[in-house]
Amino acid sequence: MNTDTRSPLPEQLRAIVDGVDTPTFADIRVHASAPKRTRSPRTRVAIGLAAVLVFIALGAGVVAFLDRTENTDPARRPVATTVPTNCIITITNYAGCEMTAKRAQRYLGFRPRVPQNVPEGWVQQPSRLKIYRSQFDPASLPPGATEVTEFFQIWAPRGSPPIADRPAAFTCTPDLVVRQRMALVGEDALRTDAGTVDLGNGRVVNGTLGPEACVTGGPVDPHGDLFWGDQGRYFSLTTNDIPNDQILAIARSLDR
Amino acid sequence: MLDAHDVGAGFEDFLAAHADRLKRALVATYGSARGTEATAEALAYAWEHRERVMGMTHPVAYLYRVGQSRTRGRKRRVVFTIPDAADPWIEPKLAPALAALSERQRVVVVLVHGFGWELGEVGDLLGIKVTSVQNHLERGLAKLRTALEAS
Repeated sequence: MNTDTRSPLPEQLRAIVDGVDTPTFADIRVHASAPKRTRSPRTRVAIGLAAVLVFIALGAGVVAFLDRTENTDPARRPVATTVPTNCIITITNYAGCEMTAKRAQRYLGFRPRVPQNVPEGWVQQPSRLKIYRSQFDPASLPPGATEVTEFFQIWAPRGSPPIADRPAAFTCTPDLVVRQRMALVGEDALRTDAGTVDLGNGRVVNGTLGPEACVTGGPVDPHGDLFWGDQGRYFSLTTNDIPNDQILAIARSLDR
Repeated sequence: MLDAHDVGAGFEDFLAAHADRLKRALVATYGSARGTEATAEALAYAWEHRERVMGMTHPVAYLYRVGQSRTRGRKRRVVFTIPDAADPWIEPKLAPALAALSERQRVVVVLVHGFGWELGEVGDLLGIKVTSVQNHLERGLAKLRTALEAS
C-alpha cells in the first residue's frame, strides 16, 4: 500500500467522528417538543409478561400462605366449595362415595399417602371419601368445625367381600383400613389418654397392637389400631390379621 | 428579564461552545448512529433545562451522562459510518478497528489523539484518573496501530 496517500491518524479520526452532523438549534427544539420515545413493542411485551409472572407469583404466594394456615385449622380446610353430595355422610349413607386418591386431593387439601408392605395376596378395594357435616352428627365434630373430610383406603385378601366401611364393632375380618384427613387442632401432639407404640423409626404414635375382641366371635390376634398427627395431617391405621412387625412397617411407610 | 429571542440566542451560544464536543464524546462512545441519537437527546434535555445546564461549570460531562442514560435501552453494535467522499482519505480498516477497541480506549483515543483534548478533560468526562486515561490511550493506540498495520 502506498503510505503516501494516507492522512495522519488524528485527521482520519476527526473525519470519521465529525462526519456525523451536530444537531442544530432548530433540530434540538424540534426534538425537545416531539413526543417522548415510546417503548418498542418487544419491550412492551416483555414488560407485560413480567407483570403477568409477578402477578402469578404473588397469587401462588397467597395460596401457599393460605394453605399453610389452613393446614393447622380444621375449620378452614381447603375443601372444594362444591362437594359430591353422595360423599356427604347421612343417616342413609354412612359409606360415603368411591373416589380415587388423585381426585380426593382436592377435597382433602393434600395428596393422600399410599401405604407400602401390604400383605401378599391382599388387594385394594375402592377408596372412599367421607364428608362429615354438623347437621348429621354435631357431637362428632370438634368445636368450631363444621365439616371433616376423610379419605379411606382399604385392603383385604383377594376374594373378600367389599368393605365399604369399617363397622364400629369389630367383625374380625382380615383387612387393612387407612384413614387420612387434615389434623384437627392438637392432633399433631401425642395424646396422653391413649396407649403408645414405637414405630421404630424415631416416631412414637398413639394406639395399640394386640388382640381385640370381636362381636362375631372370639378375639382377633394380631390386631393393630394406630393413629397420629403429622405436619397438619392425621393418619389412622386399623388392621386385622396382619403381624405386628408388618403393621409397623406399613405405619412407617405412611410416616414419611 | 430575557425575552424568548434572548433565551434562544443564549442557547445558541451554548451550543456553539459545547455541542461539537458533546457529539464527539458520544459518537466516540457509541458509534455514529447511537452517538447521534444520544447527542440529540442530551441537547434536547439541555434545552428543556437550559437555565440550570447553561450555568454549569462542566456541562459537557453532565450532558454526556444524560446522553448515556437516555439511550441506555437502545443498545446496538458500535459502528462508525465513513462519510461519502471523505476528505481526507480514511483507511477502510480504521472504522472497524476503532469499533473493536474497548469503549474507554475508543473515547480516549478519539478525543485525545484525534481532537487534542487534555487528559484531565477526558478524565473528568469519564470520571476516571488521568493515569487511567493515559493507560487507555497507550493501549488503545497500540491496538489500533496493530489492526491498521495488519491491513
